[in-house]
Amino acid sequence: MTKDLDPALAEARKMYFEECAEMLDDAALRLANLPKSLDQTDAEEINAIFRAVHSAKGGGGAWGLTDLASFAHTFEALLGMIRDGAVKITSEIADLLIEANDILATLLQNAAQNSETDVSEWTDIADALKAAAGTETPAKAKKPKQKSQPKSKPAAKKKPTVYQLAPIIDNSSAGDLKKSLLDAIGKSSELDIDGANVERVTTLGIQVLLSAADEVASKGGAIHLKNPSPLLKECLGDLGVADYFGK
Amino acid sequence: MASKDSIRVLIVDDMQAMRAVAKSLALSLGAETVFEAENGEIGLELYRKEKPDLVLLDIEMPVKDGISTLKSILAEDNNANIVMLTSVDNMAVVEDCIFSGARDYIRKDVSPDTMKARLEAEFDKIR
Repeated sequence: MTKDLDPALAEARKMYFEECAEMLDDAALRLANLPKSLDQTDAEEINAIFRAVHSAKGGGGAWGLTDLASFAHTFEALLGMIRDGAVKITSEIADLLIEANDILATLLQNAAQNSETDVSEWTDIADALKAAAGTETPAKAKKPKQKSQPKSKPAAKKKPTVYQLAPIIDNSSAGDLKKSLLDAIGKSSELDIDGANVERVTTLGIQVLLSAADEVASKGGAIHLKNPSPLLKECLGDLGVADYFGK
Repeated sequence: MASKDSIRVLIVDDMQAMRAVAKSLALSLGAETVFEAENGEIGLELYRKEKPDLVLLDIEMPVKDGISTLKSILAEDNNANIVMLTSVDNMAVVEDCIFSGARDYIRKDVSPDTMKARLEAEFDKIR
């Protein structure tokens, strides 16, 4: 990854490893003190640990360190839930966080030396982090069974709702678009979005469309983009999400 | 916005490495001056003093986070050109920033080349 980097960026990359190593050392100290004060864990302690892991994740993505970014992402998700009060710190969780922090530091150290960390060294802990966060691991993931539709009324026969996109989807209209898409989704599990009129769209506008697709998918439905204008097609292609919507 | 030849940028991010990346990209795109702040409080002070053309503002920061800084700057200067710098996965947070007045956002967990292209688009809006 270091080849072809201009000197300032190569220096920034080096700085990332040094800075993150320090932040993770600091996080390790904070984590070591967590079990002793389970009930009065200072929010700033968790925030500081969260930021260390978050920074490692961001740089991991920037410098193409896929495993590191993936592990940090899983670690960050659990910390985020702890920070939001959705998951309580028990002594087991405190131990898991300490272990995860160690692994992240190892991933970082190895990446700094351009050496790989064996996947077996971190996948178990990644699975444990997901389990603690209440998200299932890919290996164990049992897709929640969609409540089976009564066979006499096949849902597929239902006519999808059609939503016509406005010519301009910019940041000021993205909020309204989100609301009206959510309304449309509320009425049907199948949503057709007609994109023929789109003349201008921002990344936030695209993001709103992607959130809508996720929302429909979570209900077992699907979103289909119909007649995308050349510009919309190009934007989706540029962002690498052209295949995100069902045909 | 009036067209400008020289662009002055303020980067607010708690990570020095991230500021270094953004600074290097901004300078390579022809920024005249780049100011740096390691948290929102310092960022707000620098904004008042320097009135930059573009603020690249991180979300997760100690002392004063990005959302709070965004609101403080906009409360003083409604025309501030602020673009969030983020690797936050929670899009609701990013949307909150946009609905609070940020002009857009740039993901920082992408390759420097991708980030540069996004930054260039923000420069083009100013020029």
